[in-house]
Amino acid sequence: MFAHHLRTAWTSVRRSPVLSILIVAAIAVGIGVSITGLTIYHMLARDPIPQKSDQLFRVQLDSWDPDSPFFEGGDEPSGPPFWLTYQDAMALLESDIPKAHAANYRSAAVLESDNPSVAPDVYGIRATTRGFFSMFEVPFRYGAAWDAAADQDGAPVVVIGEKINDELFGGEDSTGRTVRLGDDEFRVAGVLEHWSPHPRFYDLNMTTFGDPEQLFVPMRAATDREWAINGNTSCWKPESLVTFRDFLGSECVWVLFWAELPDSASREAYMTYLNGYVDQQKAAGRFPRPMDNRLRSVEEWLEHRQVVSDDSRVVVALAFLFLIVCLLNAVGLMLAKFAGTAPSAAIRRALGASRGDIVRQYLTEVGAIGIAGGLAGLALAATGLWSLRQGFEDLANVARLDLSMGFTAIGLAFLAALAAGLYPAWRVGRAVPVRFLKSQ
Amino acid sequence: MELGSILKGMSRNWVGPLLVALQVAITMAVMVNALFVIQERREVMARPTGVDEANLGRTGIFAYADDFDWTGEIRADLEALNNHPGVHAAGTVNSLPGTGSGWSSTWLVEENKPETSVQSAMYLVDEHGLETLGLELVEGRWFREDEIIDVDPTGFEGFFSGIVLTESLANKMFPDGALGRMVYTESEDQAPVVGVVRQLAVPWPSYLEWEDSSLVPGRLSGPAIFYAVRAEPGRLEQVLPEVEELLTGRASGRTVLPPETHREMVAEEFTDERATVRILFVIMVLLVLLTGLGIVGLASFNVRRRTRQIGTRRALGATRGDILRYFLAENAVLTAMGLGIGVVLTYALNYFLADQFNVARLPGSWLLIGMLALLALGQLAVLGPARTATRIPPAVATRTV
Repeated sequence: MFAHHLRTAWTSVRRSPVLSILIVAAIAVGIGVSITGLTIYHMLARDPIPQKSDQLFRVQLDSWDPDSPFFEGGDEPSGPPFWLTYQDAMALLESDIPKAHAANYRSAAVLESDNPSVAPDVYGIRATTRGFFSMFEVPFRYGAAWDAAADQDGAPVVVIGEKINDELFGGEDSTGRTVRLGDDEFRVAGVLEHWSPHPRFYDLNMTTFGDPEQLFVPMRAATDREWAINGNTSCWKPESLVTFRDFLGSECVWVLFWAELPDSASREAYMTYLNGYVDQQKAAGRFPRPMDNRLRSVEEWLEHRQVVSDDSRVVVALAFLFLIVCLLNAVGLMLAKFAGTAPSAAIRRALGASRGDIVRQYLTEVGAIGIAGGLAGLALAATGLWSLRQGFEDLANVARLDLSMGFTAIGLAFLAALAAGLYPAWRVGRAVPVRFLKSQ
Repeated sequence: MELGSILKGMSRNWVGPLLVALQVAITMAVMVNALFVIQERREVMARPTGVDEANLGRTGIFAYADDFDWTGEIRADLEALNNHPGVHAAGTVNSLPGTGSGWSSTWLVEENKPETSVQSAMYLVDEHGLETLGLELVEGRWFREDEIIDVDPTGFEGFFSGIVLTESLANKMFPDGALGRMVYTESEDQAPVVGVVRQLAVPWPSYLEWEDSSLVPGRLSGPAIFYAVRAEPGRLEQVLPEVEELLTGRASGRTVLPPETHREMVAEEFTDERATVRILFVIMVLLVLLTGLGIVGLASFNVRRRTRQIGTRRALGATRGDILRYFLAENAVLTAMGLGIGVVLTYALNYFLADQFNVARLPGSWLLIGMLALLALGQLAVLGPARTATRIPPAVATRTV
């Protein structure tokens, strides 16, 4: 029966090709625009590490100024600072409650290689501790993370990304070989597979949708060399800062800290530990503000840092109103189209088809038109997103269709077409056969 | 006179007109609100930064050799840059306004009184800064070469011999004249205000106090530093690649940071706003086209359906003008109905956007402009089908189809 409906639908489409194409076009434009807007929102709101986003926590301690709360953008206080002081981060690394944890910051250095065809260039560097790799499930192609001793003594070892490994070593297993970073030899401990979480949840400071660094070194190796902090540094306390040592011992916050806490028991234990640590520091005269320690999961952190911009939500809202206008247009076109086919429906009714048959027949046609509109709309959305990628470098990782958006587009188009076709189909089904038969 | 017959005609075939009226209503709501958001975002992006935006670029160096002569090489770089034809002036900076990253500092108006603190952006500039950035000095003087000290963001010795404030910041801190007054820090350093410049924006586009900037005579102590390069008017695009080549060839043990124009840097900082403006603009244009087509479709349908009726009216003495007017009037009534719903929808949508997101309240004048625009669109769209109607000969009335 369905095959018959489809065949009849095709005949009907062929009978009024212009109107059919216009309906497909109306749906396609609506889907194209709304899927473009929705895709950007979807990519911004995406969970970058779904398998464990509820087990990874950003650690915040309120070590800030007693006289004024911490502000970061906007006119409302932001709660505890986003970053930790160096001394607190180092102290928290002593805890064995988390399954893994990592302090880190972004720096930069000039990379030189023995390969003469590669000119020295500046690279972003993630200075961190070895827990970073296991916690964030960073995949290795060769070698592994550095050992615990390197975290302690700041040994000059480096984990490099696949891109740099391709450039410098032609993609070979380069573990054990060396690269020059800031005029020092660093031994390659491991080479990563492609790894690019979007949004780059572990550090939202620079471009949120940028690619991760291609170089990872022990935090101690970076601070020993006094490598600059290419992230946010915020200080509140009047204290004499002359040397880098002074800075490391200061109340300035700049270190990012993440902990992996797989279950609620470990979360509670860790929170108790944090509160105990702050109490101890309060006794030593630090942490002048009321106790306010936070563990924010990946999702909560992205929400707190407002990764999904208001603008992207506004665009989605307006894009969907646009889709409604397209559908109203489609309803009008369908009425015109079905008005033309009323006589043939009347003949079918007279030959024994029920109203339900007629309505089902038309809905089949409308559904098929919807799917065609969805496919065309998907092509339009792909074009729209492509033009956004061309125009905006920062959107290269955002304005991209994925499979789920593809299905959404087709499904949405199908449902939208059915919704638009319901009334026209019902009207044709309701038509009295006799009226049409008489005038034939 | 015709209103009654128009309404009667609509009520007999109400679905088509209702669909078009709804389209007009939603189109108005989306169009007015989208235009309003576009306008808001444009205003933010168009704020002047106080520097010579059109001719300003930025490059820099990142040193890596252990024995790199930081002070000497920077001096030589600046000399080469300032002597390069097409370069108006060049100097070291820590950041540029509107480009997203920079330093802030807390100043105190009165010594040891934290309650008199003022937040401001802090730019490190050198003796070339005034000419390089293209600032306008309204009072006092600029920094001398011997005042420039080495500064490390994580700590340095000594303090600045003077400070220059923007007019906005000066008025906030010292309403009765800033020149010569002392500015204090929470770490008990102090410096006199030696000059005031007309305008210089902060580095952060979303920062509320857009013009609260201060400038101090300092230079980063390595390993990386930015050079601001101001080209002769209109020569920036040509000068920047030359500058990169010049710096690359001049010394070893360092890499040269790829030059960018100030405008590119600011534009990148506004990626969200620009993308929003572009998408909303496309939505608006498509929407207007679509609604226009919807009106054309309905009117054409009506003309075809009423062919005999129109012929009859013509035969009974109606002129072509009468027929045209009838269709225009019918469209005006239909659009007006849509706009009636549209006003409510527009306000509702704006209320929702303002309540949920970063959008302001819509001024009433925007509503009026939106209504007039859609009325014009409706009349324009119906013109084609209406003229077809006027060409229907009276003889049609006598034919049996």
